[in-house]
Amino acid sequence: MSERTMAPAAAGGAEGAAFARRLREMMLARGVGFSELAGMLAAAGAPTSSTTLSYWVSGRSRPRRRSSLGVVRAIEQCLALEDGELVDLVDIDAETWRYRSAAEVAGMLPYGDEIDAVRRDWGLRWDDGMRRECVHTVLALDATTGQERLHHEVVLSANRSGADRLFLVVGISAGSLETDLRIEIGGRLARVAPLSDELSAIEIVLPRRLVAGEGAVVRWSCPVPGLLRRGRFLTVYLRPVDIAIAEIHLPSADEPWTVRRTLSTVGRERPRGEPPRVLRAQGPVLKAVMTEVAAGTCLHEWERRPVAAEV
Amino acid sequence: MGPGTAMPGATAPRTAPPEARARRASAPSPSASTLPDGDFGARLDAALSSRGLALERVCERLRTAGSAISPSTLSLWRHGRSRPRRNEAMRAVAELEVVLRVPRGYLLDALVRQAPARHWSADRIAEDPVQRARAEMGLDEGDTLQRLLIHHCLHIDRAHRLTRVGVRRVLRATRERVSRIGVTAHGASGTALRLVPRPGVRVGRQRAWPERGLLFTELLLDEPIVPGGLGILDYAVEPVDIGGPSLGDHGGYVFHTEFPVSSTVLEARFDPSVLPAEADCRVQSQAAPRSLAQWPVNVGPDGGATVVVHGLDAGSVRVSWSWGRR
Repeated sequence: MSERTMAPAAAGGAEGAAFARRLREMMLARGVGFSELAGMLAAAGAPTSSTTLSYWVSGRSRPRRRSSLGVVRAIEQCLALEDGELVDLVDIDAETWRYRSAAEVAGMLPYGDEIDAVRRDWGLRWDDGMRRECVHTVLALDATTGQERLHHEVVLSANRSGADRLFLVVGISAGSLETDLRIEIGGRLARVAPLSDELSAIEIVLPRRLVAGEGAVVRWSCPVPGLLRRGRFLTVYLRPVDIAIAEIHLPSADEPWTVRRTLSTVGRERPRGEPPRVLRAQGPVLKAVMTEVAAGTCLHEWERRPVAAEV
Repeated sequence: MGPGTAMPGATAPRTAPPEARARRASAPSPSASTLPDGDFGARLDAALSSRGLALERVCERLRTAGSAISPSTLSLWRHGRSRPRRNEAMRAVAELEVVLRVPRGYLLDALVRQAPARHWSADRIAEDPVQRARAEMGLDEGDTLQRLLIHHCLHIDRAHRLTRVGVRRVLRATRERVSRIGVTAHGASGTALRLVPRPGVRVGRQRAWPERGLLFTELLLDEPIVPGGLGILDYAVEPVDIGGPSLGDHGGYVFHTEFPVSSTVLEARFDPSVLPAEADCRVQSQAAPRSLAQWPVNVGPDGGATVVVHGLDAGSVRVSWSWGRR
């Protein structure tokens, strides 16, 4: 450290102390001093004084303002950290839920480590530069042709210029996705990898790189033979979603159907699980809507019998 | 100030004696009649003063409830220097109503109702047939709904005609159970429109003014939205008679709102074989008439062009395109 001596992080709140410690460790590991980091941040469009950085490292203060979130994210870039590695350790208003790290999300999701290993293997950055305004999945079990289908729609806006790749986890076998996935609008299927438990990872490439602030819509669908008989489907939310809509279309409104929906999502600060909810299928379509999902799953299970009890 | 209140900003002790806690717990909650009307800042100020908690203490309780708002943000809101706009902040306001023990909707209503007051004036109702129909049907849409997402998907065919607009609205009920909602569809003058509901909603009463290209529809929700709950409305609007090719060199579509919308999405889907030469987007805020943003919009080779606007208070988003040579 050239310009200023780094004092040990002061004891404080666990979260603040962890942020100070991690920042200090990484500055030391990279051999970057306060002035140098301040210069890098200014060049990255997130100007911050070296005094502020020194306060953060010593634990005398910590980033709390909304405007500091951009600085923390810029520090991650300047110090070549993983996306979200420092954001996990701060608590800035209500915005940090959008920028949680891959490691934290991997701990929340089934097969999270396996999913993240595929992402790394494919060389994809965790923060893909796209905000998911709305993700809409439809389980169409009502196909008159006898072929059940999954429909998926994502409305995006670019956080940074150059974003063009979507990484998704889907509850369909890799073989089916490779041969039968049809992108109706907004991209092309680039890669597919099998995961455990009938899950697959897919990469969709948009027709062109987005400019920051630009919107895009991707719609695709894939037949899922035997889905009705399978009786369950897991929707995985890997990246933060402002609004998630999960919809299921049952074969017939006249027949008695029981649908059980189990949500296990993580919002801004804490898990938002809910006990399995048994739904009476009054009509052929059931919809669920969730907001501010940092990561999570929605499990639908269905069977052809009257509802015994409604929870 | 009523009994049991403290000056705003007064710091409550961290560990109050049991009798003090009991006194606080039994202190009467302010009722709607003792709380003043006014804008959001005035209401928040009154609620904070009435509850008598320091901002730091309020923020602690919000944090416990899962809403991280800083004392400085709360102070800015209170003094009208900023106001909640994002979904997360709106949710924190709902928690604030609980923490401050004010009637449900007291704070949120002031946010969703910040449309110009003239919108509901008697003059306006008399001159605007849609407002008259809305009033006749008892559909006062403005003050009980928070609009999280409004997505319009425009389908433009190779003859340059707007053949269909798919609409999705994601809403949160702030105060009352909502089981029916009035929606207005606008087309070109002289165009009769029809509304096609998607699963989850049914068409109730309708009024049409084809000479003005207007259709007002009462939509009945299969599942009412409970206070604090979320709901989705999906429907499409189509011209009854699609007519001949559009011969104009330009086309466009305007989404207008009198109420705050968290995220507005206008998605144009052109026939890939007949793409416009160029397109642009203009956003105009009604609250600040001079604030006008305009930017070019890319139309992809698959015919898609999408615009996303965050935090539109009241105003319009216009997507325009021209059909010259690409």
